Amino acid sequence: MTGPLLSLENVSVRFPIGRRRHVTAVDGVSLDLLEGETLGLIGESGSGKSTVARAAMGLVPIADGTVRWRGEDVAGFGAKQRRTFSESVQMVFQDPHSALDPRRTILQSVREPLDVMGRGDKKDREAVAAKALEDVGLPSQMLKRYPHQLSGGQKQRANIARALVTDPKVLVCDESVAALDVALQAEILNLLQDLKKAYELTILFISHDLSVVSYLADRISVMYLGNIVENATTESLVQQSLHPYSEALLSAQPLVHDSSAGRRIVLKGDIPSPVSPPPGCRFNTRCQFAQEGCRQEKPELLEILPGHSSACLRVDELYGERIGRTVAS
Amino acid sequence: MTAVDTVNLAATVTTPTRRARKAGRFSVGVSYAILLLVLIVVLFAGILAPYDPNKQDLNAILLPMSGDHWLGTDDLGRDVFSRMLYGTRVSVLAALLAVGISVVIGLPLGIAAGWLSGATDLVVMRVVDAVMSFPAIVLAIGITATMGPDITTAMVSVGIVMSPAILRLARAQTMAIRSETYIEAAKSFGARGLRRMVLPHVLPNIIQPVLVQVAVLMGFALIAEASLSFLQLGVQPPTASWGAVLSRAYTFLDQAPMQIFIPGIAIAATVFAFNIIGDEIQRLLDPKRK
Amino acid sequence: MRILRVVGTCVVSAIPTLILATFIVFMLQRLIPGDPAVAIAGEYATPENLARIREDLGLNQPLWSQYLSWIGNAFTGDLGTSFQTGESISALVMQRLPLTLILTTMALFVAIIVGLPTGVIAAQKVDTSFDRFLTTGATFGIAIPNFWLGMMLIIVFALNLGWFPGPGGVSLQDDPAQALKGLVLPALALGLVGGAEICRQVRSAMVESLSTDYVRTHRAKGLSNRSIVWKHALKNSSLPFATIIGLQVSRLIGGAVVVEAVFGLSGIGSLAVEATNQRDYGVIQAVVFVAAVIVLLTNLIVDVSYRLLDPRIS
Repeated sequence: MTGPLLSLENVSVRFPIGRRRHVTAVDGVSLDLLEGETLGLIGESGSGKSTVARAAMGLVPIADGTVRWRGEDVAGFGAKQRRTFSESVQMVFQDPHSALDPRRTILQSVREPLDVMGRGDKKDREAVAAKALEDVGLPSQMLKRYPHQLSGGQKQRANIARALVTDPKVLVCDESVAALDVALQAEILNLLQDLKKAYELTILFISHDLSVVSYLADRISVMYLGNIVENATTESLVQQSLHPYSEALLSAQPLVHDSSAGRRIVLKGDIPSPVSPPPGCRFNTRCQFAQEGCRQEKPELLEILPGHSSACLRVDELYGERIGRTVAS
Repeated sequence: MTAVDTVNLAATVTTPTRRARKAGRFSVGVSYAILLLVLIVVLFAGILAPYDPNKQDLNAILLPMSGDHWLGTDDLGRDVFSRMLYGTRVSVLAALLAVGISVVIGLPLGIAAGWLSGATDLVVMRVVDAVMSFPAIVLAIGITATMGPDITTAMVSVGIVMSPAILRLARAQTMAIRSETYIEAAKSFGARGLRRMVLPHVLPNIIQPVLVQVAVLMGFALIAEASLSFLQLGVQPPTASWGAVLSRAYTFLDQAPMQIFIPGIAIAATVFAFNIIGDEIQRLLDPKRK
Repeated sequence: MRILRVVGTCVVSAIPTLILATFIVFMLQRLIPGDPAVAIAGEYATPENLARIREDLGLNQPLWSQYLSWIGNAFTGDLGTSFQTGESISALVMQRLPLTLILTTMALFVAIIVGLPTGVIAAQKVDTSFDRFLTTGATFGIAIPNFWLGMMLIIVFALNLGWFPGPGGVSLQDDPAQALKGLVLPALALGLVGGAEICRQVRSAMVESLSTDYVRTHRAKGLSNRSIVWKHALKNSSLPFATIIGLQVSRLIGGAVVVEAVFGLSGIGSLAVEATNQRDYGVIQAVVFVAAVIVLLTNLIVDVSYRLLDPRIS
């Protein structure tokens, strides 16, 4: 088996806020994106999931850790490798409207990655762009229009087309359907499924919406306040979540939640500010199972079942029956 | 949007009454007419002028308005109407020069400061603060007086002292769009630098408010030309400009008071038109309008 | 002692601007075409003369040391001597400055009296034909060159009606009352145009302030429109007003230079014009310097009042 296509190792991202202070938006996150899979990254707003995507793309500077492309450190790339990397990893942004330059036509915007990379002559580039626009199901009379003349769904199709023109290996979708209404969400999700096959894509799909992620993803990582708290296959996560936070997210999703667990978890309050994260387990302020120990020791992400890891100090006590272990004492 | 929001918005985003809209359209129409007239005069002063603007006739000095000399003659017997026509060309070109200079200085530096931020921004804005701590016309007078009176020098100075207006605007606009997603998207596929980022994405998206400012500055530059030429720091004899005609006429205020009305009205009307058109562009660009 | 701390902060943050601004003034003499010494002494100056001038100006020293000695002298009140009359430039400026300051102050009052109420009323009646009338009037007011307005005022009120003295005022030292009377028309010429500017700026600040939730809450509470506009919204707009007034001082000082020439007043503006005609570069430089110092002081006051008015800035 070959290694992961794109991987993050202990990546941290910090943003300066005022004098000599900074906020840690992403705190030692590791992710492996395997060729051909769809990895879902889920979390509330403020969890740092979008920053993870930007760090992977090289759009924000990384304070710690390594991003690897086919096993090689991206930081050490020369101009040529960097270009290959940036051709291979493309992003579809959240807001389909603001992601398109209002002063450029759809065709110009979609063609632009090829212009920047200086591929072929203008005619070829236009042909590639037109092909991509056709693949995403945008009628050809839209090519000469400006973003404000298109509907939200059409704009997001154009954004996807722009991400496809370089023939990428990886598509990073950052909340790519969140700004659309439900009917359109389904349309775009199906489109992504189709394109994944046609273009042989690997997808990192970021969302706050578990039902969307579980529809698309093979595996899911759950983020909370800059940390990954649970990693599992979609099936395993939905069937037997091993973290109170994931359970809380699941219980808010009646359609996908297997209610046999019989436990309903309600999150209290808002996600704390990453400027002053709580000590110990980041989730302890809102976790109904939090104990004294949770406020002191920060749990590590440990593999509890094969391919299923969780970062919870009380995982044995809370989920002992699911994982076939009994409480130690 | 909920119903409550709609109600609130209706209370704040005001719509002009019909009479106000009509009055607004009227002044915009008048302004376009004035600017068109000015343009025609600038282009065809040579054809329209009945006399050579610099031809002296000492037998016909300080004549009142008449069929031969529509606006009379000045103290050297030159036809004031012809001098006003040629002066229009000189004044408008001078103002264009000044505004051009301020755009050439202000736009790139403003974009650079807004885009690069950090140290570049700090340095540029310090210099801008320093330039803005002079009353604009005083610094322009200082530069021109030192380098020697001359219309080109004068208007370049005016352009320099006006450039912070463009610079600050371009900077603010650039900072506002810097965090737009389409900029980040362009970065994500490697668009960088002048050719791939600034020219295709930044410039087209900040230019409209700059155009409004250009219209306003045209007005300012016309008044500055008149002021400097009035002080004899601008155009030099025998060249005519609005300020020069005014300056000459003022010396003979008691003999020919009518002659100072005309240049003043020409300046006021043109500056007014530029300001109204500036407001109009601003209004058309306002995203809240609809 | 919040005030002292605030003043201290503002002064410190104004220092870099002051240094750069004075450096610009200093660099003015570098713009003198050709050899400044020749430009000052004339083409037929003897070599000894030229050498003396170079020595006086410190032209033989490196730029930064020239600047340092110039700025040191400037702030101890030594702006050099006039090459035309041999007089101390500071004395010349100090003799002329009071008149310009009085003129500017009078004009500022006129501008505020005209601009503030009209701006507030226009904002209150925003988008009605009355608002349109006021704003169009203000736009026209801005378009009028202030020195031309001065000429018009002379024709009407001095030459025809004889209410005020015409051009060529009396000096402040000789007959203060008459001199002040002579300042009324120039102050009007400057202040009316300034008032038009203030009107437009106040209007947009007030329109913004009147559309805040805060004002809307007051409306919902049933406060009278008058109390909302003149008390709450106006108070809420005090920060933009400080900026507007600060800006206006700079504009008025610039305008005063030209208006003084029209009215034949002997302020620093006409001093600069005379100096230009006589190529008295030191005097020109001094006038630019003094104008900048006045504006910087005004900005300092605005900055301080900003911080004192706004509880969010500490």
